[in-house]
Amino acid sequence: MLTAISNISSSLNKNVNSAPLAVFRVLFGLMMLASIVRFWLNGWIEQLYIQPSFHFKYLGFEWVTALGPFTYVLFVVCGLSALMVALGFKYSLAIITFFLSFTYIELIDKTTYLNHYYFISLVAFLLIWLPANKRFSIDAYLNPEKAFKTVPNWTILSIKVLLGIVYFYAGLAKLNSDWLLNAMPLKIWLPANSDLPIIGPLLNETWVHYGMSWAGALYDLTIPFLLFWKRTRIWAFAAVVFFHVLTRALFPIGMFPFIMILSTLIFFSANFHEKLLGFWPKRWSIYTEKNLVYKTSLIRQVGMGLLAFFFFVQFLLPFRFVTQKGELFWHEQGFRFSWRVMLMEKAGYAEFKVKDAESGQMERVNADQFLTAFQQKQMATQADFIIQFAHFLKDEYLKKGMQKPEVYVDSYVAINGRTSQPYVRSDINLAALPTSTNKSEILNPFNHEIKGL
Amino acid sequence: MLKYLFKIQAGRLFTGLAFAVLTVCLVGTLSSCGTDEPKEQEDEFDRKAMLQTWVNDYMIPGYENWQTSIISLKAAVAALVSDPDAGSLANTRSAYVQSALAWQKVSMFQIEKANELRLREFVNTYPCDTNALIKAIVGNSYNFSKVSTIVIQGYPAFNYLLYGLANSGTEIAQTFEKDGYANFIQALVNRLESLASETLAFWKESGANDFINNNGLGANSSTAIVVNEYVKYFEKYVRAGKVGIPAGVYSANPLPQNVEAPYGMAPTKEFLLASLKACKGFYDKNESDFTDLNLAAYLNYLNSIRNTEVIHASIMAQFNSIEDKANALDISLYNQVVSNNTKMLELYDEMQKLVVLLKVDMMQALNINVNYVDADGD
Repeated sequence: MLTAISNISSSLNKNVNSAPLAVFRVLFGLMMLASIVRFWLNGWIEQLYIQPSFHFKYLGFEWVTALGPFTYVLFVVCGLSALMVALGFKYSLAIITFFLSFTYIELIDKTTYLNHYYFISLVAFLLIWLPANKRFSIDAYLNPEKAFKTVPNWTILSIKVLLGIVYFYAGLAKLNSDWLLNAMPLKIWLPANSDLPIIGPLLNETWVHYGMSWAGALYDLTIPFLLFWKRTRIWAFAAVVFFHVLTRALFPIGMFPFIMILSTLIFFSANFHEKLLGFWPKRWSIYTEKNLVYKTSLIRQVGMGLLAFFFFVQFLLPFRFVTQKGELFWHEQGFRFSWRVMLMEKAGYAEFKVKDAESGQMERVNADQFLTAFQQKQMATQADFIIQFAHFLKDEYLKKGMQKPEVYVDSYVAINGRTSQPYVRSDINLAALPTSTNKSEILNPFNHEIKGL
Repeated sequence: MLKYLFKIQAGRLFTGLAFAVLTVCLVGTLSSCGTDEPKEQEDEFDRKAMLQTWVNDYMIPGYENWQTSIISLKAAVAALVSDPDAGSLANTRSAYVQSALAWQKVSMFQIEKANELRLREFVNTYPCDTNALIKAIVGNSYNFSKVSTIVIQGYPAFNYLLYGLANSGTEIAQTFEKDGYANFIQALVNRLESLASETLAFWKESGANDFINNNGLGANSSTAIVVNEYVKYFEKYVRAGKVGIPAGVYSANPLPQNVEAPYGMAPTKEFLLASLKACKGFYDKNESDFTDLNLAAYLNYLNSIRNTEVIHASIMAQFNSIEDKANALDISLYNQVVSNNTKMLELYDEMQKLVVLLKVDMMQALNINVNYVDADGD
């Protein structure tokens, strides 16, 4: 037992070539810069953060607000820090700034939640604690005494583990009856692309819907191991490229496929990364024989402890749904931050009613006055959004002079091609509920069963 | 990099890829063997032909019909101003009603040129701001291309001028002896005429080709834009505009003055029925024989992939019960709101059910996003 632990410990602390970490840092920084620029050019800063007068908040992060026109400054800071990360210039400052600014942006409005934004926040957090600027960086160039050829094995391993978690849990989430037995939601999504050249006509075929569902689940579950294992690595990477290029062609998923393709390069050998670095002028690739030894300074101990805890949480968090009664797809408590990616087609419609408890008078709300079409769409299928908006409406009507506003909703949701059903109970005054209410208690029953994880 | 990869592992790469493709195919075949599949339809649904049908069978004839009605209205207005009496007023009123009815068929197509022109806003924004209208006539200053004049032009302005200026028809007719009024009502009809011909020209000349060739299903495809507009039209302009708002659904009290044409018992029920018929017709013109390439036929096609029959049946049933409720209303919705608003509220509830069917069930089945923002998903 003791030898096993000491074996693991020495394997984790073994000094290995730092090239993969340097390459990862450069690619990550550049991709983040590109993502920020793309986001800006698409006009999304304006549409998603500046135009809406109301934002849906994460519990505990109500204090994070959009900054009006200064939101653009926030994006500039975020983009510049990404560039500094890529260049390895004042790395610690850059990566901390990037993590904070990017995460702040994501916390402004949960309408825009995407698993891959969450993934980026996690990688950025991880990178804060990793010595990714010891080679091929301006920092190393300016301070040769801080340049190192090797780093402890665990620093590179931790990124691989995080990537592995993303894939593996995404695969686990697909092990449900809708995905495997009914080929949903691919059966809805794929035929929409039937005008694509060559593969288009295939996308109407039922066997393709099932084939792609099963292959997708199999891919997610096995790819981390196939990437890890040297003998299968090269074709696992080919599969990564094929899979992500395909999803890019079929679904509107922005930069994510490219981020994943380039990130998985970290599984390749140090030799391979040396070759990549070799394409660049020699003097950039600081080459010394020195090793970075993680001496037990207090900060480093805290950092390693923190990362151990970080991974512990990452392993458990996706399973938190088991503590909730009812259908996960219906109440979505434990759905976010769990790598449930492209898992369901959920559409809904919600109309709010405000009733004055004093006079008994009731009126319906035209939500266009307060929310964008995108916000309304996201709200209609998620009970936590519906409660938040009800609270907002109560305050609005108090301001308008209504004595005792009560807020009710008529809402309907359809999941994975089932016909729509009443969603939130229409007889509950939502404004009287705390935002932390267990959503299952206010929902109408979901009259179907989706078996599995 | 690729060269490097290939040098080292080209052989393995090949066997690996072959194995992967094989697995995918194998899994695919195995999993589709066990299930009892409905018969596959060989032909892919021809969205391009559907777009073509929309242009040729709905938009062009719809706009032509509307344009013809405006030309008749223009002739009636000319007769009214040259010889204002009870007879010429009655003719103008009936031409106005016919033209407003023709408009109901094309109001939903707020896309392309119509969207650019803000056609629906200029043609039919109600209630009309009558104070501003009189002020414009008296001051002889109005420029109908300005957005600020939206509330003093289009059909609601006709409704006020032809029915609301005075109590008796003779008095109203006499008003048009004044140059200010005569000029204004002629300018109104000329404005409608130019909007109609500009929109029609777009579909007849330059616009149709690009529209038809944009036949994907993405957020900016013609199908997605038209279906989104169609659903939005029913939800916001028919359900809320023609019924919900005047019935007081969104306010503390009913607002009868906010019906589409509140003056002089204008046949607002007919306007409502015409717009409902247009919505139903656009969804399914031939009552379920699926020969016409429309939304019902599209759902029927998708039924071979998964069961959309139920959705189609519910939508048709809901259209029918809405029409039943609407048929039972007073010819003037103004009267209906004032005398027995419950019937309006009941109609609203039925319409609400159709909004859910169209916006949630139909849109999901067609895989068209209710989304006017082209954001990423994951």
